[in-house]
Amino acid sequence: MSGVGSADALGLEARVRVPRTAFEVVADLAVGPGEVLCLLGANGAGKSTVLAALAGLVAGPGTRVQLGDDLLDDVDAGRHVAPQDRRVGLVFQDHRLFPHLTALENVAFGLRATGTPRQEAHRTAAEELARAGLADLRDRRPSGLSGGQAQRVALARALVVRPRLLLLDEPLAALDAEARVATRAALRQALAGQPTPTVLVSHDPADAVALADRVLVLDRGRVVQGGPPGAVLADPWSPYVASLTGGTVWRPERVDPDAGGWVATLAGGARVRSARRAPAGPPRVVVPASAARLLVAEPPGPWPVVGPGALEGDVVGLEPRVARLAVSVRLRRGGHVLTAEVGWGDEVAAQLRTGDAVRVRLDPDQVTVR
Amino acid sequence: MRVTGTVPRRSRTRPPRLPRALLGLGLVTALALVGCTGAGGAPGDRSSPAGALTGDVTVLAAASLTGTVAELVEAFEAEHPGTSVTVSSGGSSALAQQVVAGAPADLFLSASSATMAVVDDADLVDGEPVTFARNRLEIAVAPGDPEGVGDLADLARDGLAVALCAEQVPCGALARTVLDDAGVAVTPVTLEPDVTSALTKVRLGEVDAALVYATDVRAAGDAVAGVPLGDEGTATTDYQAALLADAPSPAAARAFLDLLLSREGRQVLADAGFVVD
Amino acid sequence: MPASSSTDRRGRRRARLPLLALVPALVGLALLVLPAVALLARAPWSTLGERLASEAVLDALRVSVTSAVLATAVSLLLGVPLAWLLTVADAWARPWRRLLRAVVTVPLVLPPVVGGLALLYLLGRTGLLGRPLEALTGVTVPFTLGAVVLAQTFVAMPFLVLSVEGALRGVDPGLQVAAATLGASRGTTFRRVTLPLVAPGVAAGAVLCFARALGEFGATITFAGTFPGRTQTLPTSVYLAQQSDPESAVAISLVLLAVGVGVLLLLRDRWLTGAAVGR
Repeated sequence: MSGVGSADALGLEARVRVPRTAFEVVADLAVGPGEVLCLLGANGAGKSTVLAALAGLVAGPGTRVQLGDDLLDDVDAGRHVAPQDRRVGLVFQDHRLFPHLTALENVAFGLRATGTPRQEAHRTAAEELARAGLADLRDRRPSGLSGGQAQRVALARALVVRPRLLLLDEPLAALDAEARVATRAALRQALAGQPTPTVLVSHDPADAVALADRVLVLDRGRVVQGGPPGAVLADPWSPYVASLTGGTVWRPERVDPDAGGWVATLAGGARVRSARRAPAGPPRVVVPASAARLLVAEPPGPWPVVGPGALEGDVVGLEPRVARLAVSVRLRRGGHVLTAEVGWGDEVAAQLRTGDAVRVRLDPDQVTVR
Repeated sequence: MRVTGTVPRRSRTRPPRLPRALLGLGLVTALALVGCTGAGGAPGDRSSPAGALTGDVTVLAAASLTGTVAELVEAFEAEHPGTSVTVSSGGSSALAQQVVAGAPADLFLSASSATMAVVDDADLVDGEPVTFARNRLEIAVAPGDPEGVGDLADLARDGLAVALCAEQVPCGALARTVLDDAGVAVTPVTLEPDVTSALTKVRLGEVDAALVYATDVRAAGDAVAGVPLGDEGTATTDYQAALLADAPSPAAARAFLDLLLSREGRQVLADAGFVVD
Repeated sequence: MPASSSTDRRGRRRARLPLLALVPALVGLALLVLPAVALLARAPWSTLGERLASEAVLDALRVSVTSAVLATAVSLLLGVPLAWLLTVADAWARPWRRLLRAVVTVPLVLPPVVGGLALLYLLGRTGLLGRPLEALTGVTVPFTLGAVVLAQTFVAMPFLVLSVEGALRGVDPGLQVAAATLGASRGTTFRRVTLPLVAPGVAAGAVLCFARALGEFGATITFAGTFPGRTQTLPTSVYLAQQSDPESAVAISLVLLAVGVGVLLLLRDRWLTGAAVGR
């Protein structure tokens, strides 16, 4: 890895304020040396804006970016360090390798641009490529590289200049599924154990899980949730985050303790039992897709008896996912929609049509309330 | 589409529009070409019921004849209301080449016998060319002669910008003769392709002097001043006129030529500065 | 009617032009090719060698090539920054932007003779700038090789400017951002990223500019006059020769044709169609 002494590794503290057309991006973040922070959010949530602010490409009143002892941006005080003077590495979605240079020359570009003599720069670049397992690509032009290879060369190019902060803007978004998996693994290896604070922007939760130490979720420019990736995904505070894992989250009217557990009451009267209570966050009922079991009546027969607590609803949507079928069910009481997943082999799956009446049994051990 | 037992049916996929479109395109192209070239469609001579002269005459005239020919055209059209004369001016050499290349014209007026010979040698002349005037050279300078050019020898002065005609044109050929006879070696700044542009250079002030025809100096009026050559400039060039073979309007053209050669015509030429016998 | 396709023996798809388009295309091709063929047919092949080796022709060739090369050099020097200005002008108000573009393109639509006349009125002895120039330095521009170069530059530079502008617009601005994040100053970015990427466009523009300058006639003869060995170019000598010695005219025309074709062969396909590297 681009091993450097820890004296070079600094932490990032940033207060990003950037006005956009529909909203203002307001995000405070701190990333320690060697830490990887992932910014998750839907398209247009402002994630790339935050990255651009950190790189020094945009700024708004109130923005303040500090890297270690170095104040890179303080808009209110009139201080702004130009992007080329920041030593902030940026890896883009579309790799942006220079098309007229070979992979080696691309990687050496930053070194030469900052004064390293040509031979030495090429030598260092060759070592970096070798470290990343890309040595045999050194003389190829970008047009001769696959998407994943190009992205890894772009990462090597950004890392070789020992940036004090590394920014990755949806690095895997432009790759096909197979390349994404392989490149994600290579990225993980490259990021592990290197001391530069890293901010990664993605809309794919798999990236967060594989690469990040912490996650910040952005929605319309604001941070709406944060924490370790697994925890955030398992306990979504907002419908967007819930949708990332195929689950559901509702806002309850009240949550009361009940017989060793809790009962959450939704608008309209539906009651959901839960054996788990989240330690913090907004009032919510979190229903992972696996917690919902669908029951279908064989007409004209009665409903199978499975005990109390089954909710009645109608199927409003069917969406095939990779290995399962996601069924959207609207509850009769209150109109709340939840997502349940059914395996393809399940007999139930074969019968379901939009508009069917179903009953849903929620497993209290998997439902979380707050 | 007819369908009978033995005639094979046309494939329905062949668009019936195609042959018609091509036919239309060809028709339009043909009409355009005919219109442009006027091949074989020239009206030629027409005789009105009263027997008066009519016709469209095309005259190719050396540039130095522009003024005189215009005057004669006016008189001619006034006398023969049914006629119309179109004049194309240019360097005689260029005009000669145009005739050889097939430009449709009735009459060719050249500024030298050499250029007329080009047309004659190509057997494009009807009859024999006739010399109708001669022209001398004169030095054209800015009004008031600020550089003090007095004679041919002054043209060889250092620092004087002089324009001559290229030797390939009659004016230039005459200049060569005149200068050689006088023993003067001039290094011009430019050798213009026709006498009009040489004169224009003087008028624009780009050159100090030019060797042009006496008629040009006179025609330019106050725009230039002329320095006559006296004995040194007795050499002349012969202006020749010829009816062209295949002339579209031979009768009217001959009438115009007659006007050129008449006393009236010779007076107009003399007034312009030509040497007329 | 869309072009239909068929597969040839090797199984590759070939597009075929429908007849309605093929005929005009062939006629157009004939219009462009046949005149050159006619010229070749009339060439005095037996005397070609001695005609071409004559001093007059060699002089004209020397003047033509020298002036065209100089005109191209001047066009590069002035035209590349001008092309850059055109791209920067995107940020200007619409009327100014349009005016700039019109001014740059005007020589393309102006008859060359008019251009020559305009140059004469500007830099002639009695011209707007020419008079003070002569008064101060004693230098006159018309009738010199410099005048030929100026006339050719006037008509040929727009080709280069437009070609370079196209190339500049084709450079992905993201690459310049990437270079900045890697620590490159604006100058370094221009030198090591932008310039290499626009080089093919610049080269194409220079070649077009050279070809146009070589063939320039109207502006040259009006502004610079014509004098063998000094300002008489190949086109002007063809014009003069054509009046008295058509065969020599054809011979010189062949030289022009050969130089023109040779220069255009240097232009690689992708430069002409504006495909920049990396796109």
